[in-house]
Amino acid sequence: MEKEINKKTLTQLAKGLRQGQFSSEELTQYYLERIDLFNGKINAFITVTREEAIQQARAADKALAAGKSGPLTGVPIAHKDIFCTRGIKTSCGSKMLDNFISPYDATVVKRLKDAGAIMVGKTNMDEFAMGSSNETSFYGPVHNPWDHDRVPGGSSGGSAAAVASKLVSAATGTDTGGSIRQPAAFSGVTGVKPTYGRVSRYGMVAFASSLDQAGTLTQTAEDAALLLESMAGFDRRDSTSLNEPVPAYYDAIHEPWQNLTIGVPDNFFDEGLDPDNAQAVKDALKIFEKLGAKIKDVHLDHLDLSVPVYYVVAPAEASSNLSRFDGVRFGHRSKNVKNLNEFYMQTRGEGFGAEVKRRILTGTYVLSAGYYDAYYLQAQKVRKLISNEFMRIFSEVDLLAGPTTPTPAFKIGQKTDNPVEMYLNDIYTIGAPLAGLPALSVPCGLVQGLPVGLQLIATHLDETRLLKAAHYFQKETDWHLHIPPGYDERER
Amino acid sequence: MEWEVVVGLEIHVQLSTESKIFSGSSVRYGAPANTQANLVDLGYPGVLPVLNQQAVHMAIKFGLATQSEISARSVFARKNYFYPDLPKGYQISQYELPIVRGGHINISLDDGGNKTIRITRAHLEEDAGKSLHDDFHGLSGIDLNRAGIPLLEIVSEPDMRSALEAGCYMRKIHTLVRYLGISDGNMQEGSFRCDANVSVRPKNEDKLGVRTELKNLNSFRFVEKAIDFEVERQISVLEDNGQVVQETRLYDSEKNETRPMRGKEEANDYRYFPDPDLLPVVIDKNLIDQLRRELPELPDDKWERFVAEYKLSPSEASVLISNQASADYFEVVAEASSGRAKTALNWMTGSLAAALNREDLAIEKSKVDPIDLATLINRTEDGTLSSKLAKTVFEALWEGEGTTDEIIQTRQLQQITDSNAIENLVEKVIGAHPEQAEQFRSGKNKVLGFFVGQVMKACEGKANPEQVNSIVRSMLKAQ
Amino acid sequence: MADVLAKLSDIVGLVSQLEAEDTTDVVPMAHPLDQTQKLRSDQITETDEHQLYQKNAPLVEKDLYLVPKVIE
Repeated sequence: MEKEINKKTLTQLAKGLRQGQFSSEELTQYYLERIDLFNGKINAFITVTREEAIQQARAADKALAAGKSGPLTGVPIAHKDIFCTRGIKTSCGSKMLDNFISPYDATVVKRLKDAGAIMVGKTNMDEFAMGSSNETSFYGPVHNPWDHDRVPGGSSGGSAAAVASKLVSAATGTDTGGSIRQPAAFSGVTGVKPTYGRVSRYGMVAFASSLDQAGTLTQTAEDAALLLESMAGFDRRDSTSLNEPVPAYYDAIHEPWQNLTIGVPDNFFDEGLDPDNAQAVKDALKIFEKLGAKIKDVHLDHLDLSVPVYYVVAPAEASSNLSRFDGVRFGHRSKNVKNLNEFYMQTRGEGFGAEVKRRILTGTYVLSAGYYDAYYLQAQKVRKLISNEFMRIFSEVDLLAGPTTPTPAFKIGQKTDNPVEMYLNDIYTIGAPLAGLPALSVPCGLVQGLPVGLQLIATHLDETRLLKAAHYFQKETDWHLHIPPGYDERER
Repeated sequence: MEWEVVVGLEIHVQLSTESKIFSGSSVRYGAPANTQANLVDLGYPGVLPVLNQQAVHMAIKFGLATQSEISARSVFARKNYFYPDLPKGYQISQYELPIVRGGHINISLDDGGNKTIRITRAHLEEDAGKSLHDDFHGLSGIDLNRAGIPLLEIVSEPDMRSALEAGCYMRKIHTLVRYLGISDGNMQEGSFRCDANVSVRPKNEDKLGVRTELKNLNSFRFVEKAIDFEVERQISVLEDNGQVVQETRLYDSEKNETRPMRGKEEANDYRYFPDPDLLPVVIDKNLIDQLRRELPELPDDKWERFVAEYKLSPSEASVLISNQASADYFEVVAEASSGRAKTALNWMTGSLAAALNREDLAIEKSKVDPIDLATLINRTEDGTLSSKLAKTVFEALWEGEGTTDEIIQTRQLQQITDSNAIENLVEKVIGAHPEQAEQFRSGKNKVLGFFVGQVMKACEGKANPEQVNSIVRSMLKAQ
Repeated sequence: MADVLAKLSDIVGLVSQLEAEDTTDVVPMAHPLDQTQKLRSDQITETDEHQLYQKNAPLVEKDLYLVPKVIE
């Protein structure tokens, strides 16, 4: 297809469709062909919904012709396989749900469908969103399009890789401790996690309920703004959903630049951070200075405690959330069991992978009598301290900035033997979900040919400022336009 | 050795909302299996609970009616354990911050005294599904219609000292929740379930003995019998120098014994923690005041009023108020019959009770309207109807022949009070029975009753019995 | 399973770092934002879709979910 589709952002595709530059069916076929061509190498998709996508595309073309289109009509996107999609397999990257066809659509799925988006498939992910490398999936690891021997990040690795390799223009993801931002950084795309409660969790299979948020993996912040406008908003089916109006993000980020103060935590820049990665981030900050922002050093006293807090709270909630997977009403069920006890143990033993089991055990442990106070309760208290600290800092700065990850993507298999080492990689991204803050990652450089990301964090419900800063950064830079070698159309 | 019995009750009350506590599914009893279990009730991946306002209001009303503290801020917690009738693998309940705390109920003891039973707490939670054990080739079948029905768990302090006191308390709570309109209290359908914690200790000992939990007590009688059995059992264990094992026991009503229960209740650490899918419930004073204004007259207050206003005896009042429908029925009758409370009560415990029992009806379904009964009483008192015919009219009312006045009219049952008319009747009867008349003249006064009976027969019971009596007497004397 | 258990003590070691932190008078944070529960009006909003749902059920008979015998 000579129209250089793979160079177009979601925003441009939506416009192009409305202007009749191409049809939704053409676009959809284009992406489906790329998926056929490349998915074998990167394993970004668990399910490709070919027939449904073509049908939806045809309907979209009719709507476009009739002038009855929405903001996303005809644009092909993918959903992380953690979102329930009616009539379509929803696996959460797990054997436990390998045979599960969801009878309902998640609110996020429904809203994007109502806005006109076409779903081409469900993307691969760490099992039940537990992981930072997309290596724990029952369906095999996802390979980073930038280097197939490396991880794309996780748990939304499939979504990040699919967008990076232009198998789809955008994808949904979920972020609990960094699962959108970290894969965005590793894969060279833009990943946005909104304020807790901004986007409905109904239909998004729960990992850690007080941390989970649905968000986007896209090429640009502008694309993210467009998607979020349709995704966000109060949902009465989700008690934790915020009853706040959704700003017109897309228009808002195009408003004139307003100066702001950006705080940079000095303790992000410690020995753990790869020097080239650090440099890329520092260079990125200079762009903001050029735009007129004031850069200010801040210090996060509780940074080191954020990882332990997360690895108490998240597994605790997850251990309970995953109890419903018992083979009674849906999902994997073990055969040849002699009694009820065996039924539970074997079904869950067979259905869950090692990392999920580790987290369930950890979670059960920290909630158990005798340990609850020392671990769970204490973690929730430290969480309050972490949150208070962020609130104090946001009274002095408008945004926080820093690296998204300590290094670029590591090799597949490199960290699987050492879970704690893997966990410590989340150090920069874990704070925002603990405090419920919105945060994003944008590509800000290449280190030895691998993307690295700049993270921005804002205060509650300040997505507009967050997205706008990222958008203006992307107007000044072109990191987000880089395509992984081998994925540029002309090289097919 | 003298032993003291210590009992605390945990009562689970199904709240009579329209929909479930965390989903919009129906709570109607008896629906076909799994037809009232939606995705939230089934614990499907991705679903979330949303709290039913009416359940909260009902809990608050219970708290207000028992002088409890309503928590300004209460929290839902997850009680984690695996069981097939528990779809999510946890029950959403309340742990550290229940919605209702403290409070008490007064019970009347047999000796006429009163006792206060303290309520520790009452909290909201969701009911579990049901396991059906009809054989499915060695498997059990799970019906989740009941999963998610709102429950109010009411926990008492261990203040009861006998099975009878426990029965009293249970009945009091039962009456109260029905008065409040928060539950139908139907024990057969499982809307009102009671577990008892029972222990014994030497008299005058402060320390509590080891307690067992008795389950499957679905009638007032069974609660009392189960506690009695368990107390005997524990005492004999201890008198044999044994130890009471802390365990859960099921009551077998056929054998009248308790036995240990296997299964889910074994030493569980429920790993309670605040449910992250639900936010703290904040209750402000305005809501509490509004709900307080909506409270109906409570059983104790009604009891006092009945004794004072209608001059009923304590036990008469107790019988009436134990069933709110009866109390209401009574009041309508009493008010409409100018406060003839005792008469109303007699009718209710006499003819009305008999008719209701005969047809196995609850008083709400009485075929005699309280206004009609009041009219019946009034007509009897004002002389329109002979008291001998009152029962006949009652039966006619029951058969639906019309209102009291219509029946009296149609059947021409008006009482004959005209002396001349009665005299004529008496004259005829005396004339028709010369032998008996002669017997009277010769001193056999008992024959008076015969003549009265004959007169009543002749007029089909319509003549005023007192007048007949006195006219027969005077005419016989005047012979 | 041995693999799973082996790593657990490392994880416990990681989280034990929390014990040292002074949290006197700190209110535990169960939810990141200061929200309170919205109440739902008491209405029946669901219809019976058990046939659709039970398509996913591994073992169903007479509309009941079957499990190994539950002993009371």
